[in-house]
Amino acid sequence: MIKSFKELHETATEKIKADGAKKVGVIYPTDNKYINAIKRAVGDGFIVPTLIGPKNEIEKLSADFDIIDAVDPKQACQIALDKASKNEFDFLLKCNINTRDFVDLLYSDQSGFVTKKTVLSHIGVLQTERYHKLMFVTDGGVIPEPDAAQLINIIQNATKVCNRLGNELPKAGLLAAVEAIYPAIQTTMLEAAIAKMSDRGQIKNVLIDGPLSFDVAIKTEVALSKGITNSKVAGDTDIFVMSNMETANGTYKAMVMYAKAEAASVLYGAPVPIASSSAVDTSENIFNSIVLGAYLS
Amino acid sequence: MEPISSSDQIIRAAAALSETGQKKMVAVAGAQDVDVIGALSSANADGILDATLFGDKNKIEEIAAKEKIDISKLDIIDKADPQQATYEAVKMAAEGNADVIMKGFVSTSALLKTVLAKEFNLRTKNTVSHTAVLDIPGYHKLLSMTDGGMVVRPNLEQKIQIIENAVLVNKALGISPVKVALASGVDAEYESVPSSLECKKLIDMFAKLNIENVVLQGPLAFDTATSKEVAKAKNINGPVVGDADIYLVSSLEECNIIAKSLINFADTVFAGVITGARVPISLVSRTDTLKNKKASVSIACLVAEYYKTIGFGGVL
Repeated sequence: MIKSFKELHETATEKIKADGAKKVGVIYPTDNKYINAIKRAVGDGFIVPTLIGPKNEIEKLSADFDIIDAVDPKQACQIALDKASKNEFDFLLKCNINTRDFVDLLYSDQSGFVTKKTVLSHIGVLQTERYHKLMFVTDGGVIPEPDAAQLINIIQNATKVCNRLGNELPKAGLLAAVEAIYPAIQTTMLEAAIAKMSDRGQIKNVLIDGPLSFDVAIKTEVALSKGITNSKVAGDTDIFVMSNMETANGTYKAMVMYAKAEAASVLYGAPVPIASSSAVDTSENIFNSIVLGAYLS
Repeated sequence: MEPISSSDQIIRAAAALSETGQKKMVAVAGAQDVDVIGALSSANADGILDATLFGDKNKIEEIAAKEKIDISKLDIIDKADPQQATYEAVKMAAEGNADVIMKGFVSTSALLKTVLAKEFNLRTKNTVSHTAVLDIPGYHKLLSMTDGGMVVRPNLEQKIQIIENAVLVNKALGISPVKVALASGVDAEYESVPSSLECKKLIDMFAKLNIENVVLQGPLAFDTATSKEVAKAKNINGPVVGDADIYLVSSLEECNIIAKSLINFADTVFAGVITGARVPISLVSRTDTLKNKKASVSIACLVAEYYKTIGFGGVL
C-alpha cells in the first residue's frame, strides 16, 4: 500500500517503465508552476503532453511543447474532451481553469464526454507529517450537496483510487460535526444509514464507519475517550468523506495553505482520470497530481 | 484600541480587564467537570476571572483532589441536581451578578433552554450561535468561523443573525471594520452551487440592518477569503478578499471540520464563545488544550465587557 508521495513516485516509475509514457492533454497551463511541473514529469518519463491553450502566451513560458491553440479555457476544455473521447489522451490535466467552470462544462450537453448520470468526484490526496498515511478528502469540487446514492458513488470513486494504490480495503470515515446520531442533524442520519449498508456488505472493497467527527477519524485515543471502541475506521481513516462540497473544499485548502500538507488531486469517475489542481497548489503538488493521473490511467 | 490578533492577546486582554477593576465573574452550570474546573482554576490563578461553581460539591472536590486542581479561590455552591445548578447559574447572570455563563456537566440544549427562558430576560431577537475564533499560524489576523455548534443548516434569516452574533465578538476584540466572507466552495455565482446563489440576498438583507463598519463579500472560497496571493492568481478582487475576519459557512459540518483540520494539523489555537443571548456563554471540550480553554473563557470575558459598554449585557 502506497503511504506517501515518494512511494507513489517510485511505484508509478515502475509502471511507466512497463507501460510507456502516458499521453496527457493539458488544459490551459498559463502559469510557470504548471509548466515546471509538466517539464519535470516529462523529464522523469511519466508523460508525453499536448498543451491546449493560448499559444502565444504559453510559448512565452516555454518553447518546448506541442501546443494546440485555444482562445479561452472553455475552448481548451472542449478540445481536450473531444480528443480524450477519441482515445487520443490517456488522461487530462486541468490547469488554469477553475474546477466549477470545468465541471459545469463537462456536464453540459455539448461536452459528449460524460452523461448526466456519471458521478465524477474530486479527491484531494494529502500528506502531512502528523498523519501516518495519505489522507483522501472527497468530494471537494463536483457535487455541492450529495444525496445518499451520490455519497455512495463518491465513496466508490475514492475506493477505486485507494485500491489502485495498493490499499485493498481502505477505511472510509463519513465525517460530521459529531459522532452521535441525531435525528435533528440530517448528515448523521444519512451517514449512519450508509455505514449500516456497509455493515450488511452492500458496499464492496471498503470499510465504512460514520458519522465520525474529525478528531475521532484521525485519533484512536479520542475515539476511545468518546466510547467508540469497535470502529474499524476511527483513528485510521484513509478516505475522509464529507457531507458537502464546501467542507471538503475548505478542508483541502486549509491543509495545503496552513498545515503545509503536500498534495495531489484528481477528478475521478469520468472515462479518463483528470489530474486536477487549485490555485493554492504548488508546482510540487501539480507534479504529484500528474504522477497520480499517469499512474491511474 | 488596537485590534486583538492572536490567542495570547485574547488571554492578556482579559487579564488586563481585571487589572483595571473589570474582572469578570463566571457562573458555571454543573461544575463537576474536570475540564471546566481545570480551565477556571488556571485562568483564576492568572488573574483573568473569578468563578462561582454551581454543582455537586462532593464531586467537584473529589475531581479537584484527584487531578490536583487548586479550587481554593473559586466559590462553590452545592447544587447536586443539574437542573437546579443550571437554574441558579443562569439566575446569577440574569441578576447581574455574573458576567459569563459557563457550561459544565450539563447538556448544551438544557443550558440554552434555561438561558432563553422568558423569566430571565436574557433572550435577544437573534438565535444563539457559536463563534470559533481561530488563531491560525500563517494568517495575519484572527479568523472567526461560524456556526459550528448550534444551527445545523441555517436559513437566510439565521445566517444574518449568526453574522450579527459574530460581529459582536469581533467588535469585542476591537476589530473595525469587520470583514465578513460569505463562504462557498466557489468564488462566483453558479446555478449548480446553491450556497453561491444566496450571497447577494444576504448582502442586501444585512445592509438593511444599518450596522456600521461591517463589510460583507461572497461567495468566497476558503483560500480566496484568507490569501491575497491566491485571490490574485484567481483574479478575484474586493474588500474582504485575503483579509476576512469572519468566515460564515452553510453547515455545522463545514465549520467544525475545517476548524478541526486547522487545529489538528496547523497548530491553530481557538477561542470559542456562544453569543446571541444578553450574556456570553462559554464552553470547553475534552479535546481542547489548556491554552485553548483559557482563550475560550477569556474571550467570553471580553465579550461580556463589550456588552457592558454598549448597554447590552446584564439586567436591562
